[in-house]
Amino acid sequence: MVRYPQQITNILSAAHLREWTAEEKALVDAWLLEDEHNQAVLDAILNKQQLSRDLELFRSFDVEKAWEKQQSLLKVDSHPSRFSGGYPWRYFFYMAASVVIILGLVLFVNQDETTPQQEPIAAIQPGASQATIRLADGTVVALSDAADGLLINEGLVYEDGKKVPGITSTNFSSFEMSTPRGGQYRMTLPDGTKVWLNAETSLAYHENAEERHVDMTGEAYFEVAHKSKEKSVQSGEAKPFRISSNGQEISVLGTHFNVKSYQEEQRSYTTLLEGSVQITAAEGQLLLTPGEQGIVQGNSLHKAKVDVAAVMAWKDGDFVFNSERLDEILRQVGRWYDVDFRIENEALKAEKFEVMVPRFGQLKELLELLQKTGKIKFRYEDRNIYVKDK
Amino acid sequence: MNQVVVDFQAGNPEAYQHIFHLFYRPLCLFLSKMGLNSFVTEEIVHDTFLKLWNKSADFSEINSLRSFLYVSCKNAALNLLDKEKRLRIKEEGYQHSQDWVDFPVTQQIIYMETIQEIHQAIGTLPDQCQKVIQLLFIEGYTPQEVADELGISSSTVYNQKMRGVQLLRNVLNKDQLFVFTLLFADILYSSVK
Repeated sequence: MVRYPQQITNILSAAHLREWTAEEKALVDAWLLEDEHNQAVLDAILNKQQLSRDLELFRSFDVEKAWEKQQSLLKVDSHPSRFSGGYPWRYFFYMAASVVIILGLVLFVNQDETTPQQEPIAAIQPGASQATIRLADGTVVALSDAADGLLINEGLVYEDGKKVPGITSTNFSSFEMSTPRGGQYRMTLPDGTKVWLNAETSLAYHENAEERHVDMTGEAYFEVAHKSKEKSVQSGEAKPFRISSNGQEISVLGTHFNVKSYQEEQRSYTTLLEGSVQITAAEGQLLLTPGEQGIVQGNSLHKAKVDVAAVMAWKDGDFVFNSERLDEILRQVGRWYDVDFRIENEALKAEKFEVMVPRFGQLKELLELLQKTGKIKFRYEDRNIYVKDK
Repeated sequence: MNQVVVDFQAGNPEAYQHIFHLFYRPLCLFLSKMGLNSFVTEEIVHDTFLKLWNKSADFSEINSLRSFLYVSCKNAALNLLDKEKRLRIKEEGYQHSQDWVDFPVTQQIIYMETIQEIHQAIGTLPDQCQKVIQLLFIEGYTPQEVADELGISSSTVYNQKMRGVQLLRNVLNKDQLFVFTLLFADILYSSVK
């Protein structure tokens, strides 16, 4: 686990109190390259006038007094299972709040009334477990949405133990699995490797005597089995696991990582959680250590430290965007809710936003959150959502 | 640290108290810098911690909990700071507030937590030493100004400075500080248990 942002704040806090060591200086320099905004953070900390004002402000908040108040708030909050007590006015407050929320929803829906007779935005559902698999003999099966995981071994079995019906093939050394927009699925490969597929992702698996190979486009998280049951015939070592995706190659041996590589996007991202992987692109190679992300854009590649929890949020049922471009955010949201966003203003595409919401929530809640920034407005028409600045 | 989150997820009120102490002041500073007054700031932070408690089961690690706190506070603040008001803030010359509103949360967290660490590091020093270090290193006073301000001799300022530098060297060593932060967290945590 990366000690982010712990490590950098430790070093920054020493800025005025003692000299940085050469190693710390190097870490700060590397951190500055990770994001264009980091320089401004460093400048703010080096600005003694602002720093001493902020320290004073920071100290002016009395945490002990605040904690006492927090406890009294908890007692009047409506959760009797944890804290006893409760006051009627609190319920009135909640009622009033829900009226405001409902009013808000009505207003929101009314904004779309220019085009009647359409599916209301509130009816758009989040994605679910859905995928199809195509076997070597040509059989195509739509996988049940009742189970969200598939085991591929001597046969095809759902994670709940039920057999996938209609399978006659016994050859599972190669197959293709794909999820549509609004779909995701989990599967376990014959060698024990676990794969989570995000929406609109296709993955072709092929295993032979020498290696395990995946050809993919889209986004998937891999937990590659450490000890492959089958050893390579030639070397006697565990068979190498190799992924090709939109011009990059990733070589692994027993490790956890996420690959995001959609054809329509300019960049491919490989994020390493555990172990090590090597990425090869036209212009060279790169070795990742845990907490690092390799970015391939065209022929070039570079790496950066990232907030792994944010990258992996999709697998754990959340959308987490830490200051990401609007077009990037809306592409991911669109894939999951199966809607198309049209950003009407070029400059708006590069605007950055922060979002953290559950993936299984309603689309309109997410859009409302974005509208609250006061920077954008949505207009909804036939599963197309038009976005313009306010 | 992880144990605190595990306990918190299980609904342990002491773990909640610990998390409150860890994030309350950085969050208040975060909102104040967006241009909110201290009354509104405290309201929002209290409200966010209520939500956090009611959702405690959702958090299995500290980073998502941290993001939740900051992003929720920011959303609540944006609800208040409508566009007109933000414009007014800009016109009235509180340029820095406006800049902070648009600044990415990830970087803001780093700033707020650095302030917290500086505060904690200085807080480990003995009383007079704290004042001397603060005035010399943060406020940028000269040793003579510090002596005048605190009504002590310049040789005392010098001695306190050397003492502070020595103590801080131990505290601020990279790995030790990390241990220190954990220790600090653990001592606080066990003291409330």
